[in-house]
Amino acid sequence: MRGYRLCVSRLVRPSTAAPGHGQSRRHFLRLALLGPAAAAWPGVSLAATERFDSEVALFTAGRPVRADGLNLEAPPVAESGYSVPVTVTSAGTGPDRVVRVRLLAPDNPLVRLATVTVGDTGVPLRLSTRIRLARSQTVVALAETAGGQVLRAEAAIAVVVGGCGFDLPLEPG
Amino acid sequence: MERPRLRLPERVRAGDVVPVRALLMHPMESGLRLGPDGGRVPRRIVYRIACSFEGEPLLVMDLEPGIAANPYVEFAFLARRSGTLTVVYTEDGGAETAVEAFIEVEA
Repeated sequence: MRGYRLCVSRLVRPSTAAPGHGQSRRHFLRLALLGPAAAAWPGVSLAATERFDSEVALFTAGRPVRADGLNLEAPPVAESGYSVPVTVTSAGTGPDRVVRVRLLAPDNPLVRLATVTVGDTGVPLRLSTRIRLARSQTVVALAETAGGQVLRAEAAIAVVVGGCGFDLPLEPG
Repeated sequence: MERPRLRLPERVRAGDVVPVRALLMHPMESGLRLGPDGGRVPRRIVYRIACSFEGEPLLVMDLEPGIAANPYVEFAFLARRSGTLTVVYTEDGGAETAVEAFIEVEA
């Protein structure tokens, strides 16, 4: 039953603060309890925050990020992390038309969920898919407009039972 | 791979916004899961879904293991002329499965 451990997560409402906030707190607690031993703990959550930050940096490429113009719709509570519906929308047209979208789950073993390149659909963006979530967290959508602007939206999702697509920690490389 | 399912409106008039819903039954094996023998189940996911209309790309989705099993995608496009909508799914290892539908745009 080793693999079962990660599959059942408590119902914890994700913090509405910046993603990674709760992680730092957990990391701090772990450090406080375990001292130097924690530094060698595999899969320690600080690494997850770094993975998320580097994913964001990769997408934004130094450009400023706007918090308006993009919407991420998701259920506040998901019974199961196996399949959580999410919808990304934007009213932008012309230079504000969304041409690329990336979905990120900061607390998943693999932070990047998907990248969508949008062609000339002739309508404002409305994109839906279903994602896996290992635990409760704030999912982030990043978008790039035709004019080169970067937009960001997020949605806090409380997961009752984590997505069991992930039993194992991520192997390096 | 199984045959993808594509859902489109029955009648489309010029200027309509056409909703496209595409679903493929696929386990999306993440590569991070333990099998019954305690070993790692190798990764096997659909890593790309490409939707095009008459060869023009409408939407290309690059999927990671964090996309749920039976990958579903829904989007919309503007009906400008009649033509064929194609959705191609590519799996790890390069296997492909595709579905297409002719959309008759009424004046």
